[in-house]
Amino acid sequence: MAVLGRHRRLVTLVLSYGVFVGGLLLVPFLFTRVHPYTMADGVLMVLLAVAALGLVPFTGYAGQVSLGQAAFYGTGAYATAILTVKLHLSPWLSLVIGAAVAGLLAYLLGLALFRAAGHYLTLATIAVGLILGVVVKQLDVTGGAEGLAGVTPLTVFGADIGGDVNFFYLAAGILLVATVVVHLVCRSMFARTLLAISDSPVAAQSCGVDPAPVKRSMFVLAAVLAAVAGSLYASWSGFVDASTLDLNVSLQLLIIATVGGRRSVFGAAVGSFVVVSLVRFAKEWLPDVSSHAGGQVEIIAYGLALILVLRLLPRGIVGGAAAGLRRLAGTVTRTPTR
Amino acid sequence: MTDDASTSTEPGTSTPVLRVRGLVAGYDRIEALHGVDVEVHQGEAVTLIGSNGAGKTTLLRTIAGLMRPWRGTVEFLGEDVSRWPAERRARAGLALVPEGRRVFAGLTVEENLRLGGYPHPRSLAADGLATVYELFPKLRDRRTQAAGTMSGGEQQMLAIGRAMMSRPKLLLLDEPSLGLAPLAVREVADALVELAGRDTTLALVEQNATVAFHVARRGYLLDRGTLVTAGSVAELREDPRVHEAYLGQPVK
Amino acid sequence: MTSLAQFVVTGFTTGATYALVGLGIALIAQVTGVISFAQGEFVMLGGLTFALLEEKGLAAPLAALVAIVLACAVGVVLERLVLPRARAGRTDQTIMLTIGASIVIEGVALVVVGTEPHFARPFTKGSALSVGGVHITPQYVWVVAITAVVLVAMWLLLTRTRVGWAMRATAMDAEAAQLSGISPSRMSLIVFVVAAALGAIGGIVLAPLQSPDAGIGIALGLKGFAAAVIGGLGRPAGAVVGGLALGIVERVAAGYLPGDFSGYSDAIAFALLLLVLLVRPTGLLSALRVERV
Repeated sequence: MAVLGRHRRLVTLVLSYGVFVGGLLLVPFLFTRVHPYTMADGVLMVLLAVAALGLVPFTGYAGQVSLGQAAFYGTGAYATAILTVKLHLSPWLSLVIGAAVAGLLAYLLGLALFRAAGHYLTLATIAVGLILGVVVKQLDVTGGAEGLAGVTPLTVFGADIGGDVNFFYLAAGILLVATVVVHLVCRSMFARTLLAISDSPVAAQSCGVDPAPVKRSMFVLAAVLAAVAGSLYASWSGFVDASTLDLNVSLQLLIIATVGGRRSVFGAAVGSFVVVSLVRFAKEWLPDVSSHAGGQVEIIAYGLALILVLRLLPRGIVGGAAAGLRRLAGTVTRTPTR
Repeated sequence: MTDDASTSTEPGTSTPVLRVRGLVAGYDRIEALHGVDVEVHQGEAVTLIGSNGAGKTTLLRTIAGLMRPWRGTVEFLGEDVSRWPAERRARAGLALVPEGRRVFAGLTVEENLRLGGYPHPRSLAADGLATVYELFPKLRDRRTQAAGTMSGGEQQMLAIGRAMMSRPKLLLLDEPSLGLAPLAVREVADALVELAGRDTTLALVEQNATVAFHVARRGYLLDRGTLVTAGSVAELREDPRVHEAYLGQPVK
Repeated sequence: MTSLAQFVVTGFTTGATYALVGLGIALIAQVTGVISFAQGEFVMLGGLTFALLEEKGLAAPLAALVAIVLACAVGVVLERLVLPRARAGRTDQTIMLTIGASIVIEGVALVVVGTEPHFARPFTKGSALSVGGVHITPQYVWVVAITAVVLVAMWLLLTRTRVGWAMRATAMDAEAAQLSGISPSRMSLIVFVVAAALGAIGGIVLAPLQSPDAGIGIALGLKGFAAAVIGGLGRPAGAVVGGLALGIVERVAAGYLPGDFSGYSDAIAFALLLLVLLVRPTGLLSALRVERV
């Protein structure tokens, strides 16, 4: 039985990664053909999934709510822009430096913040994002309110990537690697500790587990992934401004992680697909509905999606689907034995 | 076995004030009570005894409505209150003096007492205050003092007084002597005897067997979530299982 | 010197609004344990509805009343429909739900009203008083006077009425309050309505000074949070003091920023909030409740 159980887990693992990779490979096919999607949506979807991926362990396991992911996303984006435009460094090196800076920033914030109750983190992360947003609009090195243009595009072995479809494959590859990394982290003892923390902080503490360093590491991981995504975004779009640091980006990322499933590594990609689709369809259909609200109407859909998922599917779309499948599989395998 | 024991001491045949039937309850996924039956009749003082972890507190909390029963029913004055929230049960006259006293530390003694009378119109408060102050003269002297600054014994009296302000038809007490100085234990026990003598129906959970048997006339012995035996205090005193539960403690 | 006094007066006025928002946040946190990120949206709802109705020619007191009632109604919807009944140990979920609610409220306001700001007239006409070179417009007096009346009313509510006692009891020990016959669910509803009204009143008195638009909720909510955290989330009076202090510091600091740095004035309140969180994250929460296992 135990062997069978282990096999089943392996089969589930292989199957879920198969579906995941298959889904990713379908994107270029669908997004270049199905109206109103564009391949740019596909690239953005994968980048947002990478940026939100770190929130899976951080929100789902450590039970923390960060509304400052955009601060790290923007840090990565600005680092790449500044280092390639002003210092002419290679975009790949800029990506690494940006990720390191974001990780350091998260670590330093975490040193002070995780001594306190959860809601302080939410507040502090919002504050950091807003402050950075004001600062980049003032400084010369960040290009002020106009932002920075002419970011060096990424090259692979000296060759230009060229085209959204090719960039998509690169970003999707990075998403896959990041997913495996986060998956391993979630599988570790580490994550079990986090789960205990989020279920009952007092209980975890009374078992001698100090939640602060664990939460801090999760926070740093989330920041690094967001910075990588931001950096990729800068190289892809060639342009960075303060909108990368906007609170709306943080909200978007939190919603992506929550809607997809806060405890599933595939949740970020699913959530990202949902959010990018919401944005795309809102842009396509809503101008007809409401003339004076501009393109901002989609935030109602965000908010409703967040509330409905939290109330009806607290484990997100992937979590809910997995539970449904398990129940289905359970009835199928259990019926013959009884 | 519980039935014959309890019928032997049952004072009347009228509807009991409290009837607990087949109660199963617990925390998270851990079952703490495995089907318990208890009855308390009008004017009775009953004690629930048992060693640590027997499920006494769980039983009281489930009766008071702070925990939902998994199975079984709680009937109060002939009505099934199993699904009622705690505040509704409190308004109906089911009062619990919780473990650890839980007085409102930042409020004065009198404010605490007035809150106890919350379910009733204000005009009744003066009456209730007079009764409580008569029972616990110390509280009258301290009525403007912040509850949190009083000694454990005084806080316990306040907690009992607060519960009495709601004019309960059944008073549940969870370990009223826990953590008190010997002198305070005596005072609390005397007050409970006084209350019992005034026809207050009460059910008392106690670690301290001396207090339990001093106050109550009848009792139940719980062990690891099941009822072991029930009977008069005199019977329980002689029961070896009771001695086992109170290992090392004089049972008198 | 005169400019400093002017900054203090102006800051005190905006600070009064922060105090009302912060008080609502602190009350909700104490009575229900919910950290509500939607509080700023009630300020927006109050201010925007008031300004809009006033523009349409409704008498100011009536416009204010409608604005407050609307905010309270939205408060009821938030408490009853959005937040789950059982909230113990689900801080992250409730935080995200209030965030979701605040996005929806803002989005609906955007769709209904649009992005443009709306203008409300000062409550009374009349020119500014000049006290030793410091200009005090009648609206400043209105803001401070109305805030003071509201705060006194809140204090009376909390210390002199049965409902107020019940709210305080629930804040101190929800279970013990329940055992005294107080319904936590009812207290939660009441405190959300009270907080919505507080926010709306803050938005209404501020409307003639800072024309409200649909997007002001987030910033004002955060400033209310800063007020509550600076003053200590555990004490209602702390939120009031914190709000006034924040208003004054923000205005004075903005006033003395050198010209090149004037663009940074928007960040002052948030920097202050961050500083407080980094330096004394636990110490500020004076009445930290013991978490139950």
